[in-house]
Amino acid sequence: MDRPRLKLASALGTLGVLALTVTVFAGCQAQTQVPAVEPEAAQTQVQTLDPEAVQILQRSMDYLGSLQQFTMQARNMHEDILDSGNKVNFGAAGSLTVSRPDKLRAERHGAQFQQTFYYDGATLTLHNSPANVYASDPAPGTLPEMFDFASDTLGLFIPLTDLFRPDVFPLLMEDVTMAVVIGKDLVGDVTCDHLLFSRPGVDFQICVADSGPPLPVMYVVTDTSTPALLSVVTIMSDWDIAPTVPADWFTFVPPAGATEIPFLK
Amino acid sequence: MKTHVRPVLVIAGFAAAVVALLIPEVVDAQAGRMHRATRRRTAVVVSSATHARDAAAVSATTASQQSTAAQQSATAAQQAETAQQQSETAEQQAATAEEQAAAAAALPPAPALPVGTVVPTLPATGCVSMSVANVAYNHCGNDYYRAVFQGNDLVYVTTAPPE
Repeated sequence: MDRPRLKLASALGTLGVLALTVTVFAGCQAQTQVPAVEPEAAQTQVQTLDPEAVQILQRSMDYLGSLQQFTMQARNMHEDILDSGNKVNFGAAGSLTVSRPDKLRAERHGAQFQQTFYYDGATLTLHNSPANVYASDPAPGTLPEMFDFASDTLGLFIPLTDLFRPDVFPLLMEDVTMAVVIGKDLVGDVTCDHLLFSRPGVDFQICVADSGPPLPVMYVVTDTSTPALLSVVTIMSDWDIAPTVPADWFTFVPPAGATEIPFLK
Repeated sequence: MKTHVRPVLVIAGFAAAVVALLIPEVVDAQAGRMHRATRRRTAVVVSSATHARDAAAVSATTASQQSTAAQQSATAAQQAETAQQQSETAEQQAATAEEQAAAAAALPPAPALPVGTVVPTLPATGCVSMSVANVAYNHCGNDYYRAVFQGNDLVYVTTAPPE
């Protein structure tokens, strides 16, 4: 079986919102754009894997992997290009509750959609609230298997699941050619270590809280395979690593008047 | 006066009418012998009596030419009379096609989309929700749609009419 590759942009494009600060973006671009005046130095920089950046990322991902249960909120903005050539941003928001090894509930909503995903270890359900329709399918028994099933069989992208795979760190580091500590940053009210990683076709930034649990508070994915350099910016907040979750939180109960529909496979 | 052309059968459908022309007798004068043959000509008329009239006119012209070939010894007056009769026949055909086209127009519209077509939204108007055997459908015009999830997207796919 092929090793799963992260579907960073597409997966994150389904969730969350928040405006990326200009300074963060400018700082990122300053690092990723190779200065024409010093190509050799720039090439050296592109090939650099800063051990500190790698270590911070690993510490954060390992910590996420160790959590048995957590909840968090996410907001994101993703960019798109109009026919006119102008770049615009679209927002969304969501939340995520994970109970390892086999339960998840995720919500995402934007101006055009409002969806909730339920996974109780046996069944995966997607409910569309405005239309009050839902689809359910038997699903594998663990979260990583369910993520693959959702993606490969149903074509579903469940918000933020990239970051919650057990093997997320090696996946994130795959083919990375540059890892840099940008410096301290402030996201919401959290001071964090701002990291930049680059690999062919994708740049990603992550900001990890610099005190307390090493939780990520910002995650930015940029598609560098096209000149448009489209990004998805996700801001994570309201982390709760010891939540009180109702037992039935992960099981879908059709609301009154709900209609079951199929997944188109 | 004998008429050599009997274009008679006109079959109208929903959006198209079919004109079938039976020509029972064709005389091959140049070969110096007569034989009987039956030829069927078909023209398609698309939801318009005008088209039917045109098709009838075309058939009348063709028949007229064949009739002239078969009756080389006939007088000019006979030919004129024959042509007049054929013209009347063509008018009758056109009238019949008009009636059938009008009948077709009174039928409900045909399905606009093939079964299995996926659309992002239902038609803006004219849709009725219905449930058959616990399966939800949207009946829009003559199309039946089922809501489905295509990945994360709620879309609609056309289906055969529920039974």
